[in-house]
Amino acid sequence: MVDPAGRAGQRPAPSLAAIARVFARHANSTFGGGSATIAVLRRHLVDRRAWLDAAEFDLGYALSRLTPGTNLLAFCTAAGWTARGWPGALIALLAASLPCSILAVAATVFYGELHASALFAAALRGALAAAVAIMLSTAWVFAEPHARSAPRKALAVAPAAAALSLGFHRSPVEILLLAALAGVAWPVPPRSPEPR
Amino acid sequence: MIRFLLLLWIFAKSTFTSFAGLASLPEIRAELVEHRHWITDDQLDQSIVISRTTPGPVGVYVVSVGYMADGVPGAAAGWLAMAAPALAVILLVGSLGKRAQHPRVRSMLQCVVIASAALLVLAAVPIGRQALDSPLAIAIAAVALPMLLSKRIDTLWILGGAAAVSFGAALLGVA
Repeated sequence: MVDPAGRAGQRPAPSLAAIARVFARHANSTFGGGSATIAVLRRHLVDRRAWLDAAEFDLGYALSRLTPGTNLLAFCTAAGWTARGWPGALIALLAASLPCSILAVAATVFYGELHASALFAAALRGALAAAVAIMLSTAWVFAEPHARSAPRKALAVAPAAAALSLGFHRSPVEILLLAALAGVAWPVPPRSPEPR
Repeated sequence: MIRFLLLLWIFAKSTFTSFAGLASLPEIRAELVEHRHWITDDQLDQSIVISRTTPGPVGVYVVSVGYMADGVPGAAAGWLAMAAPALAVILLVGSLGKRAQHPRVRSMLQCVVIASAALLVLAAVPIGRQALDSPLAIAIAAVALPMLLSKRIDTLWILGGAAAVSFGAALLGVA
């Protein structure tokens, strides 16, 4: 097993309150689905706060896509666990899932009123237009480091994934499992030693 | 209490055996709409609309469905079934994490991330067709994209700004 406490020892471990704040704010405020939200979280977890490094982020993201249920919540759980072990995982999961659930109940209660409001619908249209941009920027943010470090792999895997989805109507999890198998069969070259 | 437990069982059965937000939908529809008649197709559609128009994961639709079926206890059952499968990722991260530098594991992660990015672009197409239905919406997306890529402005501000622009335009009658 990975020892998240050991990793936390190498850099300042975030407080549970900070984990709750970051996941409550950023996992519950983005439209466009789980991946778009994960891209927003990447900015905060990797770029701004350095709670995770890029490799830990990729590990959590890739495995969250292969976990049953809601990928976003699996990612938040993995990130919380990597940063602060089990307490971090549970706090991240609660913070990522409770506010949006309460919001969903409120929206269910007031569905009729909200749906009938032209101004609410207009605001929502604007947010959804931005969500399309979020999804596209997310795809770029995720793929760009790998497109640079393994361009041949990116050129092979991305079109193959698109073809399996569009041409053969395979489900996302089937495509991701095939991608995982392809990755196992096509290992990256070992890293050269760090220059002293 | 029995209804709560039954809902929890139905939701958990479907969320633990699906791998994306709405993938649990057929099972939930079969149980709650067709078999038990606890909710209608219209209510199920409403819950999907709600999950797509509120922030957060689309999987949150089970909370809305639970509320429609059994009020607050039903929503709690939906939340539990939505959140619990996420804990399984710890087993995966724990077992693969210590091998993360192995060339085959690194390559596997690389390929899954690249394939995910491709699927995300494909997922953006139908949403884009629906959302970018006016010059204003296209302009919002076109302005938001470089702002997002520059990473200088928080996404919350971009989303809020997009909603405010669209709201203002509707208020002024120009959209």
